[in-house]
Amino acid sequence: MTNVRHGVLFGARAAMIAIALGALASCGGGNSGSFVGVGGGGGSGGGSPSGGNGLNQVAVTVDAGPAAAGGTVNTLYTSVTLCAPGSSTRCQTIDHVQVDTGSSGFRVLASALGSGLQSSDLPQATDAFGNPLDECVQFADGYSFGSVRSADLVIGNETAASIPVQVIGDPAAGAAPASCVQGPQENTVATFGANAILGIGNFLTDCGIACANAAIAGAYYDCPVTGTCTPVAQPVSGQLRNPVAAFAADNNGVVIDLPAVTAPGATVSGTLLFGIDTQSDNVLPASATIFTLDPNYGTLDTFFNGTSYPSSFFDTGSNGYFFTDDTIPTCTDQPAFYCPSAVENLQASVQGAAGTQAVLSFSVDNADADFATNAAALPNLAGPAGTGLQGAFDWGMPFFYGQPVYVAFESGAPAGVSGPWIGF
Amino acid sequence: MPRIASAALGGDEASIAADSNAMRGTLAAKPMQAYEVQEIAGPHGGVVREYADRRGRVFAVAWQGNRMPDLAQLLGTYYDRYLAAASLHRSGHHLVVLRAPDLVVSVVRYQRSAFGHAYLPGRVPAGVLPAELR
Repeated sequence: MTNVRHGVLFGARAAMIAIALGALASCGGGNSGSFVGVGGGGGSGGGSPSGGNGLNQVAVTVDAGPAAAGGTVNTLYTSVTLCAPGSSTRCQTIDHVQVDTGSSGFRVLASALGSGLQSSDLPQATDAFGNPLDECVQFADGYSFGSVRSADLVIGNETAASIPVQVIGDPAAGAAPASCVQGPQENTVATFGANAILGIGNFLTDCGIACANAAIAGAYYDCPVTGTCTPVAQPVSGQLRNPVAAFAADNNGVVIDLPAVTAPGATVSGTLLFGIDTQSDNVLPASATIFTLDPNYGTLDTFFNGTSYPSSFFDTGSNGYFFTDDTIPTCTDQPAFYCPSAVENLQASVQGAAGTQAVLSFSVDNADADFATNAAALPNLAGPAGTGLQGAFDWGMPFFYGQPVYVAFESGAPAGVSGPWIGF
Repeated sequence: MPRIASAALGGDEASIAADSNAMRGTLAAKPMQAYEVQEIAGPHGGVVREYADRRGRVFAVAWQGNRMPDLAQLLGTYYDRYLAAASLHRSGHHLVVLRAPDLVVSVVRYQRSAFGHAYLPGRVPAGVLPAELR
């Protein structure tokens, strides 16, 4: 594989302006109402959450990523300290951990360990047969395979004690079974684009009841010390856990708080806050709207250009807006992105499962020009999406610039509204 | 009609049966005017639809569920094109889109959803819009 570049190189702006749809914004689900989001500004500092004891926060950054990844764009990173369970000495702080609201669970590349902590310091999880438990994760752009191990995660000042994590590319796990292989292998920092991934999406575990009820290829594997790995059912309690949900407090959701970005920038600094309505710094503003999500998929509806896209989602793990507009040309050299000749100012409306709606404005500029700036933060980066069975509008990282976004976990009910939901 | 063991996209209708077997799914056919839709219900709640023209050639596949389908099985000879596009890691872990004059592929994997489609623009029957291929 040559010259793998995550999210490609680099690029100009118009903040995301969220416009209240007054009459429609209050048809259900609690804390609805109008909101006006946020333009202007720039630099660092972030939006509204403030105050509190500061212990439920960690700094997050958009930058070019780990050197091995060759330059990422619109990718959100933080640092996490990983320790052997109960230990304060067998620990390693890992930088460039991708912050991903599009998955749940902590996964670290084995090659990122080794300075303070070895993967063998982390107890290997076992399955119902007493055999080593390994896991396969299949993303859209490839697969990763590795061991499931127990670790303490310290993020900011909060600890997820002794939770199952995945060590991707762990030599002890060996090669991926054939039923895991799907697309390119992503077992290295270069191919994965980060030293680790911190999955803090709406779900408490990565797979849920489906993997408890059946042995599913491409998920958990029974890997006897001698012999081949075969898919195995895994109880929910032993699945990869959303680390924030495992905190002792501030564990019902997260807030992603990034400043507005009005032009391509080398870095963006912001804050990831733990909990919603648990401290004075993570209170959902009365002006915010809550959009409840499909409890099985984590998706909601977006209407754009007269078409409904019911499998839409908000995702820090996507580096642009991805949606279907055949009137905008894709770039000739990289058709994964749009290359309009002039900035396109567009609107779409989102609708939560409980009926709340809002109209969101966004801008699309020329991705080739964006990348030519070599900037890591590109506020108007966008590309085409497919329709699939249902169709999706992917509100990726550019959406998160300039307004705090509240991600409520399933099973909780922050602000009096049952999760999963997203609010801003 | 020759029996093709794999390769749904671009293959013939026998390849649909092969896909159904490989996915241990159940098949249901729904004839449309310009094409036939074969729906394969997978073992874990997912669904795959394969679209064949009047000559039985599969010009599109689409899927939706909690887990990824076997893309190598579904995309057949076009799988390598997806592999090349995915290897660029352009847009993060949750979305891969390939748009070429002869092939469109979209793969989405977000939280507990997995969906996408692939079609051959040159083989889509006249009058059929890609948006129908859901």
